Amino acid sequence: MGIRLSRADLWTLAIAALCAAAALALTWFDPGAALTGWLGAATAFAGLPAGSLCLLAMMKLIPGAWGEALRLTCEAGTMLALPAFITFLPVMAGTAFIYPWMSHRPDTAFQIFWLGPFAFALRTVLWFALLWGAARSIRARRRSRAIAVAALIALPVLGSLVAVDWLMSLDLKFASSAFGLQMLILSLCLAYCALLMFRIAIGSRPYRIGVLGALLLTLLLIWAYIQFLTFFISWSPGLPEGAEWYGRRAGGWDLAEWAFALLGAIPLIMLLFAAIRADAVWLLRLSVLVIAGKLIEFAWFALPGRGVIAVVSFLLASLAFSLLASAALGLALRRRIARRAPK
Amino acid sequence: MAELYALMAEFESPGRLLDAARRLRSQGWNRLEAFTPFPVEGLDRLLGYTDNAVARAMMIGGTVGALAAFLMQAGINLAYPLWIGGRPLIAVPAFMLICFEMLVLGAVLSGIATMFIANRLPRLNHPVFAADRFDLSAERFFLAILPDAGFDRDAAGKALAALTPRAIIEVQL
Repeated sequence: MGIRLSRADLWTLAIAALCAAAALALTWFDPGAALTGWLGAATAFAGLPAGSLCLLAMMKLIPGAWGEALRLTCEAGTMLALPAFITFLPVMAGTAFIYPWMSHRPDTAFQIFWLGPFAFALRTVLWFALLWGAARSIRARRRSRAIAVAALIALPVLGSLVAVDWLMSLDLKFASSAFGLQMLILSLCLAYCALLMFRIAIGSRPYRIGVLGALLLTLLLIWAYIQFLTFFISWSPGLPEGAEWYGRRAGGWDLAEWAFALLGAIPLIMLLFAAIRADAVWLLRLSVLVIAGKLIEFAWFALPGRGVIAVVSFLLASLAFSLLASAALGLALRRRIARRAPK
Repeated sequence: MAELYALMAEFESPGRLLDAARRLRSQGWNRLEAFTPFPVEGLDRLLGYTDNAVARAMMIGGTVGALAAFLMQAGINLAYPLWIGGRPLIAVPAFMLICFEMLVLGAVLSGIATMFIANRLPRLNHPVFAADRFDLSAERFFLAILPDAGFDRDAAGKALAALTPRAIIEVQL
């Protein structure tokens, strides 16, 4: 394809590899904590291709100014499915250290079948295969409308399964049917802001940028609704498992709650003003805030109760994946442009 | 002689109407009004329409609605305290649902009311209804110059004629 790595790309990837190696080296001290930190960051990173596919499929079915402005960037975003899958290899190899269900004797035959390293890995592989396969067909413009419809139906269903596997099963007692939706909207917000930031930073000013700001506002409203209602459903009748789950996030983690709530709410309120929605520089700033908030939120889902090493591992892995994402997005975008350019 | 409401030109397409509005604005005619059978994109900007009273009213109405809902619930719970499940009397998460409903109600009602007032509705008659050739059921697009303090009827007529409309119509009040 003639797409070559620049010197800056090589440096970025080298630093990313160093950070990832440092995060994995922490397994020497406490494999459970270090790998849980890695899992939190990998789940956030896997949100980029998942969110990109969701946006790409919606663009296909709901065309408009937003699709014209973001399509190629979204296509590049879906190509992160492969690196995201690779970041899950340590998780799949280390389920014994991360998940409590590995050390518990299963109660039912279904648990024997469903909860095991093989079944876990199989569902993870299937998820990334869906992300890669569906996005590939849409990118190639092959039966893209039918694939987009199927992908939008499959995303919340299979997404719920892997969300339960990856993060909800860290707690044996907690069960919430909205967990998959929470992960999906987190991923969508994260992916949209990353792509928007990337699009504004590298390209020309998008045509009708106000539409892009309005979409960010919509995503943040859905996020606020789903996150609040999930909490409210546990809080209102006083469900014991729910209360315990939120209770474990007291202590130092309530600072994280304030942080991600404000990092979502402040952009949401500012985006109510049309002048801010249509201002590229403001959208860039707000995207940075939202991304920071969502990373804290992923940590808040994964890490409580796992100690300092988990937090350090999460920070190192997040830095590694952010650098990887920035280099890979640039590379993927150049590849998409080369592919779509008139011959 | 009856007082003049406007001097109006008729065009056959939205493109011609937009072009005419652009030219009149560039010549310094600022009091323009248009009548079209469907919304024409970009026309509001050309006519210098920058009114965002509805948006502002909805913002204020929504904020007032949400605040009123919160105060109402806090007041009721303090006046008639019911201790439920060990939760505080001012149970913010539970209040949020009513706050949200009242936010929507306040925003929608104030938005609709402002829209009615700004459009001077309900209104049963308008001077253009009596004008010759005025018919929006056919594909007709009208651009009107409204008179202001130093209005020169001849200059307005010439400006409209220079746009080569299908017709120029005088609308009486």
